[in-house]
Formats: sequence, structure tokens, C-alpha cells
Amino acid sequence: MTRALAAPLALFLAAPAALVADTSFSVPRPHGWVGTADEWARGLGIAFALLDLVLLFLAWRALSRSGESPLSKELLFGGILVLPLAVVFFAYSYGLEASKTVDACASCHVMTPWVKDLRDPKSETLAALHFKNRYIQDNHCYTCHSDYGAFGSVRAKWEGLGHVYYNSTGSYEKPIKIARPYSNLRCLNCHGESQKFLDPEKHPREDLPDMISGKTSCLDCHGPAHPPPAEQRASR
Amino acid sequence: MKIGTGGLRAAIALTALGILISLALLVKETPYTLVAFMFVAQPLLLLGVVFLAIHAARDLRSRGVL
Repeated sequence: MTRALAAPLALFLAAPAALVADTSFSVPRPHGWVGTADEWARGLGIAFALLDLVLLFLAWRALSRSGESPLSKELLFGGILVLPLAVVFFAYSYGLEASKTVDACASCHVMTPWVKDLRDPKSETLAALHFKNRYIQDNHCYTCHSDYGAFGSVRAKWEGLGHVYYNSTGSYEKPIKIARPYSNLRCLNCHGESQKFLDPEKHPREDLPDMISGKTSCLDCHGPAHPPPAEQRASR
Repeated sequence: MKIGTGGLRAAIALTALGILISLALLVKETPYTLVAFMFVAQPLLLLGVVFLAIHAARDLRSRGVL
């Protein structure tokens, strides 16, 4: 039994470190870099999942050889009750964060023109400007298209389920468009306190209430956020 | 009275399937693997625990503990 557990244990110890060591990144990491919490959650999740599969296999074999025994009960306890909790914890921890990335949004084919424009260094749309200048560090689509606070995240995830359904069934009405008017508060969450925004020459004081209430859209002056539908079709 | 191991085998199979779906999410996150994890993998893992609990209850009853 010790020999049988040696290989999976070695894999268990090696998996997180191997996943944290991302070789695709060319800029040197800061001294003492040990990876992000997401990378560790992913690595540990994979390690626990593999270990659990090994335990389940050993439990099945123990049941076949000697029926119910103290050993098979221990393996079942670990494999069905304990390790799945760790796997679910790390899968949630990694999965919910990873679902916010641009790659996650781009995994639906219908989003290709938007993501293509976002990543185009020559594009002057608002989204592309934010992307190429790194005004937003990560999760560019999610940052601008979800409301802030816990309920904003929950609502975005809930609507994301709808997107998966529509994409799977191909029931989108094309060209796809934003579900409801874009809220200025999403822009103001970052820009609201900036000196550029508060400069009365750029945003006169008397106009601020309309901007905050959404009567005047930021996009009226600073748009378009994304290329208009005709250009999206041409860029496919 | 000795009880069979069918329930335990079902619990193992359900848990293994749930873990494999979770593994798919951890290896490659897409909206589909996330939905599969949330709505398929977790019920399977829960069902595995239920099968194990039912087997344990039957076992204890057959011994007169319950």
C-alpha cells in the first residue's frame, strides 16, 4: 500500500509547483515570486483531484479483494467525504476568478469581433484604449460589464449562465447588443475621483448631476466603447 | 446480516465522475466547464455522499446499533 501511494503522493507534491511555474511569461517575476493565489488554488485543486481519484481506485480495489474492511472504509471516508470538499473549494476559488478573464469571455465565438477589437493596438475604441494602456490591469470585460459589490458579481454570474445557454442553443439575436443602457456608475467607480474628471473645464459642475443620474451618458462624448456592428461584421 | 457493496461502488463511481468534471474545470476553465462543475459535478459528489450515508445507516442497522 505504501508503494502504491508513493507515486500519487509525489504527483500531489509536484503538481502545484509545476502549475505555478508558468513558462509563457517573458517579463522577469519579482524576487521571491511564488505565484498568485489563483495559480496555487488551481494547482492544489488538481493535486487533490488526482489524489482523490487514486484513493477511489484503491477503495474500489480493496472492496473487490476483501469486501468491506477497515482499510476500505478509511479510503472511502477520505475519497468520498474529505478530499472532494478540498477539490470543490479550490475549483470554486479558481473557477469563479478565471471566469472573469478576457479569455473566458472570448471562448464564445460570438464574442470574437469584440475581443479582436479590444486586443487591436491600432483600435481607438474606448475598450481598446483601456486594454492597450492597461487602465484596467486584468479582467477587462468583467470590470466594465459587471456592477460593483457582491450583488454585482452575483448578477454578472447569473447573467453569464444565460449567455452560456444562448451561445449553446445559438438563440442570440444578431448583431448582439448590450441588454440595458450602460450605467455611468461603472465608469465613475474608477474615474469619479480623478482630477481629470473633476476638472470643471472638462466636466462643468452643473453637468455632474446628469452624469451621475445617467441622463447624460459618458459614451455620448467618449464613445464608441466598441466598434459599431458593421465594422464588427467586417472584422470577423 | 451481511449487506452488499453495490451502494459503495455506486458512491465511488459518482464521486469519481464528479471529480473528473471538477478536474476539467481546473485544467481548462471555460463557461461550459464552469457550468458543468456547478450543476453536474456538485450534485454527483453530493449523491456519492448520500449513497455512502445510506450504506453506513444500513450497516449500523444490521448490527443493531440503530
